[in-house]
Amino acid sequence: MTPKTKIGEFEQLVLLAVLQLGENARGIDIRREIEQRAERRVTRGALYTTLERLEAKGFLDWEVEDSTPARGGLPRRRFTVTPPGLQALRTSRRALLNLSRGLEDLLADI
Amino acid sequence: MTHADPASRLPPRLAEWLLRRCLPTGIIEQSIRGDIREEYTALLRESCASYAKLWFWQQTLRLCVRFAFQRVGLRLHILGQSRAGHRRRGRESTERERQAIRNECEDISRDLERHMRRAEPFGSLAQDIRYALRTLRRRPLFTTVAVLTLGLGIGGATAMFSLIDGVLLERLPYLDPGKLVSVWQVFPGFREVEGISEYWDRGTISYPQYRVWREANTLFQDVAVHKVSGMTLTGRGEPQKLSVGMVSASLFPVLGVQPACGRWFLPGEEASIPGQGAQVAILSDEVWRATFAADPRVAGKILTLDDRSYTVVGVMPRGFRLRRLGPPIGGTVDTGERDLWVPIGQPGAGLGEGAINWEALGRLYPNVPIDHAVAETRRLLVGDADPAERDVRVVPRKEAETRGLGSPLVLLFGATGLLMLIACANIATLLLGEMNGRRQEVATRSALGASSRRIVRQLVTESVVLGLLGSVVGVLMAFAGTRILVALAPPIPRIDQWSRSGCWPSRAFWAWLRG
Repeated sequence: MTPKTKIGEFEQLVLLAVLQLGENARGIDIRREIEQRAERRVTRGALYTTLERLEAKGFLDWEVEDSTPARGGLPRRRFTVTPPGLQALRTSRRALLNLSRGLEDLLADI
Repeated sequence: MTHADPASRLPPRLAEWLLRRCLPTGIIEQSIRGDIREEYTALLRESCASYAKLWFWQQTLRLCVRFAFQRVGLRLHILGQSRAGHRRRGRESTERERQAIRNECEDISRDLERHMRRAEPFGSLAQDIRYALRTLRRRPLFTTVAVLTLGLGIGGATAMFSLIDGVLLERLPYLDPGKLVSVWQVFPGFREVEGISEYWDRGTISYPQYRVWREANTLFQDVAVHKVSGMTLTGRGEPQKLSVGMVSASLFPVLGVQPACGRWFLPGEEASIPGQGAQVAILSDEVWRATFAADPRVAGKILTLDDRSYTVVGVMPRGFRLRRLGPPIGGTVDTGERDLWVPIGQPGAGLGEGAINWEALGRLYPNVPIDHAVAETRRLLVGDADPAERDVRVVPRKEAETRGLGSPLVLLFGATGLLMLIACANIATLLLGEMNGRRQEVATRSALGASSRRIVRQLVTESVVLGLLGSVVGVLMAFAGTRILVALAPPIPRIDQWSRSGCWPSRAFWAWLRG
């Protein structure tokens, strides 16, 4: 694994949530998606700093959308996973699968 | 009405400013703020404003801390990367690169030197303060007398100023209070009537008169009326007698105050026939906390008042008061505190022409002179209106609230100011007397090499330390003194505002003392 494609656990969750949401991957929705599907509490600070970090690593991209009245005219960003981001996810998934091979009985849900 | 629309309620401005400062600039900052704003707006719809504001502050602080850590981490990372790069290139690094590293190191050491130079005077200041404290401790009688004298002077002046600030200077807690006026009926004949002679020019009005003034006038943005009533609350523990404000639906827009939670009364909830007003109520902050345990979803809950069911539609902000300035009920001055508010039209409301018991308030359009407003309301007086028997008076609300209090309070403040001057003169005498006994000490320090500038600085530091100690005692005395003054004073309107008055440092100090 090259250092460029190394991602942490929370970064993986964020990338997966963005992929799951597709066209609706906005800040608020990403947080909600992780909370619902991964069943863990996500602070806004952790989410936004992770989004910025993933963007700096080149794993995420975003485009600006129109605002709504509830946002007081402030813009909204919609995120998408870039090809390097997808590659990083594939790499870490492969590592996870390799390491868990043979442990299926131990790791299976009871 | 804009007041009921939660989307129009903006988040705390200071928190927004803080977010702007802490987040990365540009679209990122704007979009994160937009997300927080969107969630805040959604929260406003389902809970009360104070809870939503608290939530906004919490998120702001968390985001600021998080991004601050990220920034520090990023700088350390860049530094590490650059050092690692230099090391990697060390074998083949050019003279230019080595010179750049040397320059960087020199920059850092120059910075350090500069900081040290700046810190040096503070080091000797700390030395001076320690010496001053030791000197004062060695002379306990002098120190005690001086600190107490200063404390008394400062305490007296601060206590009086707190009262004056609360009663006379503090801005009324309503929107644009300069346009807010009290509209009175004047009954010259009442000047001779014992018991109400004082209130001959502060007469209340009838409900039909209010309707005419509200509907036909052209100079007021709106007119509102209110009065005090009592209702018995049952079904929630022991029956309680509650002080109830019966108000027109226009009162809130006139005052420009928004409920902390829920909404204000709608025009259709007011009725001109007793018993036909909507059975809705707005709670005071105190009742909301005591009866509903500050439940943010209180809107829609039912209260039994005088055996009728009332639906709670809102909660007023903490500390909201609207005083009745007309003839006192039961001889007591009204503090403006109510347990809840109901719209006009409840049973026994007194809505006929003969029931002159509604106190009127109005909000003037910008730049409307008071005498024009008087002429307009006089023109619209209902019934016979011989100016010799019945007239109208329009008074700015602030003036109506502080009527007759200015001169006595300012006079008392002048007296405490003189007391402060006497205290200062006493301290000056004490210090001069002390200096006579310290000649030897000053001569010794001078002989040991202390410059005259250093000696003067030491003596000034001593005086400042003495002054600070006196101030601490003075503020404590002011705290106790103000409470005693409030307890002993005759009923003065807004006198209980003292703890909320003053500039922000004094407010913070009171908050610290209380908390």
